[in-house]
Amino acid sequence: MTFIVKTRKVLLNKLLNRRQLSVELLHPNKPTPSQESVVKELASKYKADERNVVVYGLKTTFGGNRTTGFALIYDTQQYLLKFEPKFRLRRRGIIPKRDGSRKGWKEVKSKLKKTRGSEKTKIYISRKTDKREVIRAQKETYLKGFVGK
Amino acid sequence: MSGGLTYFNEDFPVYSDLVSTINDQLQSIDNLHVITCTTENKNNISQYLRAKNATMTKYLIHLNMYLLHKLNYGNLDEFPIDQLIEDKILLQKIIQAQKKLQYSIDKLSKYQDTQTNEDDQVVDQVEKLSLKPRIENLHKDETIDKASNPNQKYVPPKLAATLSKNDLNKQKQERREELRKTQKKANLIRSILDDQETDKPKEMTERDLQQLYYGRAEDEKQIEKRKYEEDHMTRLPTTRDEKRRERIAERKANVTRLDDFQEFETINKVLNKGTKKIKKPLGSKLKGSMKKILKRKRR
Repeated sequence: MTFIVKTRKVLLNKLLNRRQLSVELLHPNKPTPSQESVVKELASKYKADERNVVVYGLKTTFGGNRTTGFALIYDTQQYLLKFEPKFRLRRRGIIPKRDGSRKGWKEVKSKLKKTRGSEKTKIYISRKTDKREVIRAQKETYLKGFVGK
Repeated sequence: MSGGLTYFNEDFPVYSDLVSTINDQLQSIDNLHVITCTTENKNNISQYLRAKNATMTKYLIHLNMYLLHKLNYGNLDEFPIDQLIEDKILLQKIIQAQKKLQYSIDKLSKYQDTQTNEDDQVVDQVEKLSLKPRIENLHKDETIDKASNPNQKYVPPKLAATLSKNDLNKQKQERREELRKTQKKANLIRSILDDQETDKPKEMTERDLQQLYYGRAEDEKQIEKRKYEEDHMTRLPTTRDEKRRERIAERKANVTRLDDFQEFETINKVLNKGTKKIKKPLGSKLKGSMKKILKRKRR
């Protein structure tokens, strides 16, 4: 281990079935540790599956040697899929990324501002890629392939 | 009976003298009361003195009766002893209170002495100047020997020992040291227990945070932002001001480093950016015979 992990504000969130904590990493004279290394370290310390640990918001302070971030440790993968926002699931590869470009979406948005009524909904539906049913199906396929430890 | 009488006969003259002095004092108190006084305190004091002497005489009279009753083999049950006890207690209380009024009583008595006239009549008005303290009556230290001070120089009195401020500070320091020792021991034990219990990472307390951020120049806005981010488990976007501040801080930080000599090269490059290299003429580097050859050729 090339860095030291310290925690703060450890909270057991029973409503969302997870432990949420703010993490502080000390890595003198070394670059910022990667998210994967931090996930491994936390999983080993808290005796949890690596796939149930989520780390985000890592930010190094000015001058280096110290980074702060946040971590969520879910009880099971199902709760993770249920409560985690979609953009984080996309980062992990559970949900495939959006098709289309950013520019295309901005064009659609400008069209939506000009239209009203049923036409507006049609345009919105045609462009919307992350429909609820589609995402649900993607999650189910992922869970089927998931093998617990 | 004879033994008691002999004691009584021996003490009787003393007793009679005391009673006569009491009678004289009573008369002087009456005179005081007659004097027209402007302040209220003096009236009260004279009344107090009259009351005191009256109770004393009453007590003495009762005592006399008790003695005579006893000498005549009288029945003591019939004698009211409670009255005697009451008078004695009263007198004791009065004498205790007299300590507080002693000064004013002395002033009154002095005032009475100073009040004289050609016809020995009491003067109405008070002369305040007559009540001034007299330096002549100051107590002189007769213990000083002339042999020790032949010139009789002034010897200042020795200062009494007092608690200095240093002693008080020492006590405070000792207490602080004791606290530190106990805290160190507690921290040691806590660390040992923490290591033994679990592999979980160490949880930082608010005090550790304070020590971390102690000495850092943090604005109120930065502190507020940090607290908000930690409470809500989110990261707020960086503003333009923050980016600008970071750039300025980077520049400042880079200047202070002395061990990095690459900066001098960059500084030199920046300084010499606008300047062009001046080309030296041919032959300037040559020495000796080669120079002569070139000169001939140019000719």
